Amino acid sequence: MKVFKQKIHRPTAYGYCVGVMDFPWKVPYIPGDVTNASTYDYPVLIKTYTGVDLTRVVTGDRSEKDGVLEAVKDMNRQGVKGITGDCGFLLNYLDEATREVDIPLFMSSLQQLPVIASMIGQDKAIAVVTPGPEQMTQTLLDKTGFDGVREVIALGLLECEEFASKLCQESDCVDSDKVEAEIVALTSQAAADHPNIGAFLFECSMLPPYSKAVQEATGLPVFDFLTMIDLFQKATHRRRFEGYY
Amino acid sequence: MPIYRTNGSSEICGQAIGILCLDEEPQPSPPGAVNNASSFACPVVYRVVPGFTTTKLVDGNNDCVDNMIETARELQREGVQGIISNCGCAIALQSMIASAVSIPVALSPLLLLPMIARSIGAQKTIAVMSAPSTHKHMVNMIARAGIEVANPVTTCGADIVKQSETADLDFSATEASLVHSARQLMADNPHTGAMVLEDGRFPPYAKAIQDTSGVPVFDAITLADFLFAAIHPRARQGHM
Repeated sequence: MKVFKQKIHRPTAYGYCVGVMDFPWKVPYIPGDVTNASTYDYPVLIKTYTGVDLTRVVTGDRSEKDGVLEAVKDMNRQGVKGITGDCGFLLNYLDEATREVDIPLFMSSLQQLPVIASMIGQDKAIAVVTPGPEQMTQTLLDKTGFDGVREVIALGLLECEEFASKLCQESDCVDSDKVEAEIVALTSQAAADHPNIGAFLFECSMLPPYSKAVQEATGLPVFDFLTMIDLFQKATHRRRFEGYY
Repeated sequence: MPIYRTNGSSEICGQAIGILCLDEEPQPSPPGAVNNASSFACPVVYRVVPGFTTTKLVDGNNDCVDNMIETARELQREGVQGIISNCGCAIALQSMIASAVSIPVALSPLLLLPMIARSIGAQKTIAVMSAPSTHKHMVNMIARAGIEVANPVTTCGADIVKQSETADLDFSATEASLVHSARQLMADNPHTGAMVLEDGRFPPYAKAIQDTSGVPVFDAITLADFLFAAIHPRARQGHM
């Protein structure tokens, strides 16, 4: 007989593998977005924490630290096995947040940077696609453990009109075909201008819906929030292999 | 209408990942092992690299690097989009192979260490499980490969168990042995926050190891799945 124990905090429901911290930003979260439940092949617990201002998270404002840490601790109490969030700049608070819990935190897509760097040649560059290119500082990237050997090119999204006007501003409607065309154009141009780009890294949690199109257009690997979340989900919930011999 | 063009050097298409294999005596590889094609989420192709042995890499002898580069380039010409290996010790050659081809290369789960380290925080221990002959050299190998982690790293040697009279693999005995090692490891290092199975033969036992340790377990298969997700992103067919 297998015995299951009640957890100390008695969550409302069991079986959520990944907790997604949603910080308020009123735009449509389309399929493939980190904050769309149907994006995932496994149950995720998405919870909104109103005490955090994302526009300040982007700059790493210390005023948001306590709000982020409270969200992390609350999510941990829900019994999830790992925690993510809906902004790559949550990296600003990663180190402090890991001290609060005993489960892995993959709050920022940028955490993949050191691994991507080692997967590509030393003369290659990583193009980071982000609405905040000017925030992509060495100080921030150091928080990932990135050694700084590979070149990092920050590709800003503000020239992508639909993305900038509908998703960087709060808007109740977005044309995802337009966004896709803009992002494909941006990344294709970057690949032509910088032939040493070895991989793309999408910082923003609203970008994974466009990863497939960018990979197909450029032939380059695309890492985004979902490549990281899926990796940690698999590692925190190992399954028996059902192959053949 | 999509247009498809031949890739020039091979008629075979759709092989996403190429695997550089040890030039060693073959062993039984149950589902989950790197040497079992059904372990992967994508089609893979295997290529043995002459002179590629664990013993050499552990000793710091990299003389198989030219063969490794040649095989990796051949795989790229045949159309694979990423390259891995069946031996975690190949971390020693990671940088050289990655620089020799223009597709991503992930030869060892050890290259996940910096990301795992930051995700659990520097105060927690990372445990690396590998074969007994390798584990004694593990910390050196990680340092030599230029992988820097602030966390304490503990290593643990465990091995595949053969049936007593034959060379056949005893799955249950192996699983029991690895679980025993993992339990011991957690008792000795209660602040362990994640485990990495260095050995390409260990993933079949990852679930049992995790059930015992309760921490995330990374290995060559989780790494390959991660690589595949980036070289072939899929559309998420969700709804609003």
